[in-house]
This record gives sequence, C-alpha cells and structure tokens, in this order.
Amino acid sequence: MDADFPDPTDWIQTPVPGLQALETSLRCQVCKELFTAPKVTSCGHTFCSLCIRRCLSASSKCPTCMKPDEEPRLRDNIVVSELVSSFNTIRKSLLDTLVAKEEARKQAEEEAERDSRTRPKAEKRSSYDLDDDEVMEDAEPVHRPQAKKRRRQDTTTLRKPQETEPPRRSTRTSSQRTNSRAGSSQVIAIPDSDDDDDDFQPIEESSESEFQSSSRAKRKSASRAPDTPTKDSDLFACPLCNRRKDQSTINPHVNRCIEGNRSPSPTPGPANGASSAGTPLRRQPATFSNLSRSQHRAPYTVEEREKLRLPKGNASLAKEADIRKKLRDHGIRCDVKGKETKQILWTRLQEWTNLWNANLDSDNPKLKHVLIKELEAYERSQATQKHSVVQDKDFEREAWSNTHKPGFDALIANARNTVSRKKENGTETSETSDSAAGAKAELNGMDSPEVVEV
Amino acid sequence: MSVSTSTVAPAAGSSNTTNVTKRLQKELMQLMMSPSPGTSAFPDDPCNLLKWTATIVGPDDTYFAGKTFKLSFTFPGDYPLQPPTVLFTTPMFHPNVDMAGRICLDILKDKWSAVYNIQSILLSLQSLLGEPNNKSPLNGQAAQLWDEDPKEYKRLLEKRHQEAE
Ligand SMILES: [Zn+2]
Ligand SMILES: [Zn+2]
Ligand SMILES: [Zn+2]
Repeated sequence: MDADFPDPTDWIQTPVPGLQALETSLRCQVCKELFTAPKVTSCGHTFCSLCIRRCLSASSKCPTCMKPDEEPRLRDNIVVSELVSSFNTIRKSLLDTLVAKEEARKQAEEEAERDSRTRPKAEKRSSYDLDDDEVMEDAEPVHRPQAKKRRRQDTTTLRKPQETEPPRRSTRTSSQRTNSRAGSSQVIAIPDSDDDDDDFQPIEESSESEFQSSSRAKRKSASRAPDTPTKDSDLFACPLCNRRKDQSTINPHVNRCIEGNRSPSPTPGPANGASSAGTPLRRQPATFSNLSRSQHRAPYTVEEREKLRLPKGNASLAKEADIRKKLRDHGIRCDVKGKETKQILWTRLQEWTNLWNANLDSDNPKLKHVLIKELEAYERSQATQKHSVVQDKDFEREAWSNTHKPGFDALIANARNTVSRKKENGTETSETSDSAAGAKAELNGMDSPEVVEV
Repeated sequence: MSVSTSTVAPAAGSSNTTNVTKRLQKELMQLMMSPSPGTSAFPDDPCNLLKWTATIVGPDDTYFAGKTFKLSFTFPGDYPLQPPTVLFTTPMFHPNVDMAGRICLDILKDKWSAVYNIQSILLSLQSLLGEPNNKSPLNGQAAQLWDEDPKEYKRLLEKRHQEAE
C-alpha cells in the first residue's frame, strides 16, 4: 500500500492555495500521479512514459487532444522531468513550512480571541469557527488591510444565514460533529485530537487547541513512540488519503478528509514506516516500496535505450508462434499451446513492450525479473477486475476492500448526513467558486441531494 | 455489503492492483473537493470501488429541468484506458437512451479518452439532455417527438419519470 499519498488538494489549506494548480500541472492526466519519465507527444501533450504507451496501444491517439500519434514519435520531456524532481524535493518542506505558518497564524488569532473573550462585547468565536474565506484572507500579506477588511465584510454578509453558531460539543464522535455542523456551510478545521496522523493516542487537551495540537504533535511524533502499540492488521486505510488508522479513529479521520481538513503531509503507517518518512519522494511504484535496491539498476544511457527499445509490431501480421517465441525469449510465461489464444498472448506482449520501453525511460529502472512480476500482477488485476469478483486468493483486492470498508462506511454515512442536512436546509449554493472556501462550501452542501441511495 | 472476517493484512501491494483503484480514489477526492453543480457521484459499496452511483440534475430550459436522474457506473480493470459502462437507472425518455437505460454517447465509446473522468462524463451527459443527437436515436419515438410534439414529449417523459417513484 502506498502510504505516501500526496494530493494537489493538500495546498488548499495553505496560505498559497495556488500551488494546487501548479501541482496539478505536474501530474499526468491519465494516472493523476506526478509524471514518471514524462514523454511529450507530437501534439505537445505530456504523459508518463508508461501511461502514454498504454494509451497509444489502445488507440493511436493523444488522450488529451485526440490527434493521431505513435510511440516512435514520443520524446523525453526533460524540463518537466526536472520540474517534477525539484518539486518533489521541496514538496514536503514547503508544505510543512506553509502549514506551520498557517498554524502560527491561527494560534495568534486564537490568543487574540481569548483576550477578547474577557471583553463582554467580543464576538464569541474561536479560531476554528472562522470560515475559510477568513482563513484565506488572513493568509494574505498584511500590507493589504483595506482589501482584507472589505472582503471579510462581504463574505460575512453573504454567509449570514448560515452563520448561526453550532452548539459547542465536547464529545468528538463523528456523527455529533457532523450534526453540529448541520446548520452551517462553514467547513472549519476541527481536526479530531484523536486524528493525529501518526499518533494513535488521543491527546487530552482543551478543545480550543485541538488544531494546533494535532499538527504539532505530528512534528514531534518522530521522537515520540505511540503509547499503545497498534498492530498493522488492526489498521484501516482511509479511502481518501490512505493513511492508516485504527478502528476508533478511522471514521473521524475520514470525515475530516472528506471535508478537506486533513493535515497536509501524509505520514507513513507503521506497515512501511521507514520507507518514505521524511525523504523527498523518489517515485517508486507502491509494489517496490519495501524492496531493496537490488531490484533496480542504474538509468539506461541514451544509446542503451535506443538499442534495447522493443518494437510494437502489428497484431494482424504477427504469427502466434512468433509471439510465443518472443515471450519465451524474454522469459515470460506462456501456457502450453492451445490454452491461451493469440489475442491473450498478443495483449501480454503489448503490455510487456510497454512496461519494458517505459522502464528504459525511467530514472530508476527496475530489473527484468521485477518487471516480469509486474506484468503478471497486471494481468491478474485485469482478469479479476473485469469480473468484479474476487477470483484469485493471492489477489489483494479483497484484503484491500476489507481494509477500506470502515472508511467507506464512514464516507457513505457522511454523505448521507450531508444529504439529509441539505434537505432540511433547502437548496443553497456556494457563494464563491474558485477559492478553497468555495470548493469546501460546495463540498459541504454536496450539490445533488440524491447522492447516496442505499 | 458482505462482511468478511478475514484478517489478512494487505500484501506489500501490487501497483497494478491499485492502478484503477488509486485513480478512482483520486477522482473521489476531486469530486469531493470541487463537485460540479447538478452532479454527484459516489462508490456504491465499500467493498468495490469499481461500481458507483451518480446523479445528474436536468439543465434548466430543457425537458428535464429540475429532475434528478440516477446513473450506474461500472469500471473495467483497465480503466481509464477503457471507458466505464454507464447506464441510466432512473427511467429515461430521451432520443439517445434506450428503455434499458443504455446510452449512445460517443465519448463512452469510440471517442473515449484516458484523460476523461467521472466528472467529464457527467457533464457530457448533462449537455446530452439538452442537445440530443437525433440522427442516430436509440429511442425513435423520443427523437420524433422532441421537435414535433413537445407537449407529448413532456407527457411521456413525466410518465416515465413517475416509474421512478
Ligand atoms: Zn501517468
Ligand atoms: Zn495532444
Ligand atoms: Zn534540447
């Protein structure tokens, strides 16, 4: 399981939400991951080497603009490759820095609010009752007080009808939290103290400092062992961010994830903790995150790549015997004659060619036997998922589903809550669009009432 | 929803196993963070990310204004290389939708692209509601009435839609 699950939406919560767009453009539109060995098509669109090869195998067109293209015309996109790599190097520290900045700001605000509480006229709102417009605005440079003030007034007026203060809860069950927000479209960072991302021990602190404590604890956590050891098998991965949670914390966590308030840097679960913590992501497929360096080799040189590149061939011209021979020459399994059709063998050879050629482009190429395993796993997943039934005991989908079940239950429950809330409140559309606040207001009011049918 | 007592921890993980599911997780995240108005989509069953239920609301100034239509999405193992199978599960009366809810829409067939996603399908379907392709109808009666007899079209649509309740 890929414990590290960075997503462009991580930036929404920071003072520079525009980084979401930057990161989105560094991601492949086919797999939605950061580019791996980016290739540019003759029409100028960029995809991962493997993604575009698979697309061109399926139909010889650019997936973005539909212009005809073919593999030999693909070129390395060197600049994008460098951009992804430097972005990866700074991503974590940039995110941490921005989050810390945001926390400091919130803390300052909270202190100010605490002071103001002694004054009778002061509005009784704590930092996390602020709606997101305010969060965003306060993140703006301080030398724009005028604009800031005006915008704040605008949003206050706009939001007036929903701004009734939800009752303060001291309990933290997810349903209560959801209900307590029922009358409000404000989505606020109220992380659960028990949702501390790598700490399974609820932190007993006053609710006022929940947000701060959650994120601060995160940074401390490296030096702080969990008080209660939690077995990996007791953990469930959040369907949104893949963080692993125990049973009691998964639901609140998923709620928070849905509302976009998860703390930004994903942290590895205990299962593969050592592999990715703190290191800039050198992108490796999840499969190999636990494997040693002996699975990889040095990058291919340009000459090697040209020499080793496999031709695509032509399905109708290829003879079945030749396909078998090619597969066998590469050390790839093919069943006794007659058992597998030419179509199956051809598809296998195509996928092998794609894997092989994309691997030549990789900065961190895998060894051949690793690629062969990957080919087999790919075929297995295709076969199984085609029928949407678990057929293969070795196949992890069932385990995956079991692991994710609590998360999805929570997700669905949450959606249902949102729906009934929406029905009670009548229709409301979000006022702002483009901002994080807008996105989340919409999120909270989930546009269509019939979202979940059970 | 089946409840399994299996305690098998997920294996180290096959990147291929999660190709589809990872992409669908990302889409779910995207849909949660910035949904498009009048659409929604959600996985049906916690045990199967390959089946979703979606809804679209009929656009204003169309026969379908204000009505909500449910759809089922089934994703193949090689999604997004291949399109999902999309069906209207709410009874529909539209030139390009047959009585079984099957849809004739190019982007769900030969014009599919791996960069499309659930959201783009829902938006295309929304616009299909207002602008049918009457040249190759799946429902000939609907295609004929669309231009010739709006009143009768509306009546039959209402009748179909009531079957939903
Ligand atoms: Zn890709
Ligand atoms: Zn293109
Ligand atoms: Zn050059």
